[in-house]
Amino acid sequence: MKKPTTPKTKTSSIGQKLPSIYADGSEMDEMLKMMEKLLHWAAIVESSDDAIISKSADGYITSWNKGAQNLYGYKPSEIVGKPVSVLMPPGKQDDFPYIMGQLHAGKKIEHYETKRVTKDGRILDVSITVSPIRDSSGHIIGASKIARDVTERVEYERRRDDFVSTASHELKTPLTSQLAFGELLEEMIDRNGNAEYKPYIRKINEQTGKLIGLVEDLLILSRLRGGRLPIENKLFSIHKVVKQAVESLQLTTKHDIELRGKTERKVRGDSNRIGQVVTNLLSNGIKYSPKADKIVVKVAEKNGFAVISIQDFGIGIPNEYHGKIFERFFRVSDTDERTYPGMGIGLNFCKDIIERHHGKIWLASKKGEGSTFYFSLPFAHGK
Amino acid sequence: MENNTAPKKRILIVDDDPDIAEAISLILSSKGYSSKTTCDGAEVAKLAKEYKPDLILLDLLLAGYDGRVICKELKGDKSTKEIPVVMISAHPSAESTVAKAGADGFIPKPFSIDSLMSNVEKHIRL
Repeated sequence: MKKPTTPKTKTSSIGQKLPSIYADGSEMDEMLKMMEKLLHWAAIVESSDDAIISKSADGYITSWNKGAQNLYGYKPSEIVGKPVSVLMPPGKQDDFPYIMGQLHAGKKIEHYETKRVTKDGRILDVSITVSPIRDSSGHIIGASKIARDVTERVEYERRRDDFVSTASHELKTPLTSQLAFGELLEEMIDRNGNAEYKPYIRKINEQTGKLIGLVEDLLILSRLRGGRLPIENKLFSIHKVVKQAVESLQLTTKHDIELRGKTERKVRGDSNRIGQVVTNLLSNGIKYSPKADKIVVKVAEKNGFAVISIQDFGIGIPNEYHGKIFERFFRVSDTDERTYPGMGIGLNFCKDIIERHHGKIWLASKKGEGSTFYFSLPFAHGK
Repeated sequence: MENNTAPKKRILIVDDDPDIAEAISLILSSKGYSSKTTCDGAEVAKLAKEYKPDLILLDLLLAGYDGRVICKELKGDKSTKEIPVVMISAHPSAESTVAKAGADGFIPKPFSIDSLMSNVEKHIRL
């Protein structure tokens, strides 16, 4: 045990004079270093433009930096001790149980985009990161939260997405006339002769079809990026949805689309979106197998999941691209595939939709041997 | 199928784009239907009563009019409520909203002749 001696005066680099209570001064140095470090961190927190808040394990605010004051308008004396839910506007109150649930599970929440309300009632778009704080025995005693104002960025993205959405809608109107008159002309040629013109009008119609596909891609992209693709949550027959998509596509293609298998069981989710996934995968199958004349669609049950497969007999996808094929904007860079229109959005859309239904999507394919795309969806319980 | 003696089924086409209205009219004519077109949302109720169509193809966004409101009015009037209404739109989220307006069907724009005709045949009053 060390014996206290006459205090010496030590001057820390932050200008504070502190007494040294030990003869050799070593522990005092440690303490000073620790305090310096703490003050250094405190200065960083206090001068940050981001709002840095800490809260207790039951969600009460315990500290509040200047960035938080600038962002939300409350002084520390007005907000410390209040529940963090006062910052959550109507419609975002569900954030509280979600964040607390993650926190108590010891999970960090990173860059979660949501809305918060300021002292004067303005609604802000914020990106928040919440990390659990543990005591020396590992128990979660609270959380730190860093919030950044992303209102301007979100507004910019909203305008951009609205523009893309409006532009694609405006593009579809002339395309509707173009397609309708083009197909009419093709039918007239069939009726009235002049067969020598038919290949040309057919080419025009095919190109119109490609243009329509690209416009659809743009539209899907704007909605995916905006996170505004609404998903219903209703029971539906997966077999019926697949069958409808097959019948609808069959009207537009020379490929014979064969539907095999059946299930009576239902899944929960958005039948329109799942229908779009099937249509998308079927369209891809048709597009990438121009020399084949068949697509095989199978519906099966496996371990509580509906498994749907769509098999084409076309150009296939080299193995090295299988890991990336569902990434947004990814396109196979082989010369063969490059000649097909597309923007690398369709499969990413399918993945997004299937994952939002708690399912999986994957493929089996070899270059030159065709592709089979699979997706699975959990069956609804009790049905 | 239409035969030579049966009266032709009548379809009212409502679209504020005259080219699209004309294209639909030509397609329907080539398939044995007779049709009348209008670009004016204000005329729809009157034409529905006078022309007595067996089906109405109604664009969702007409200049100055919301096709869904027109559809609700048609379905709320006892002289027109039995006429099937199929709405047409290029608007991405339209499909989920037309059923609430009482529409019997929906065709997304752009549409192929096959898609138009399968919807017409499915919904037309027999």
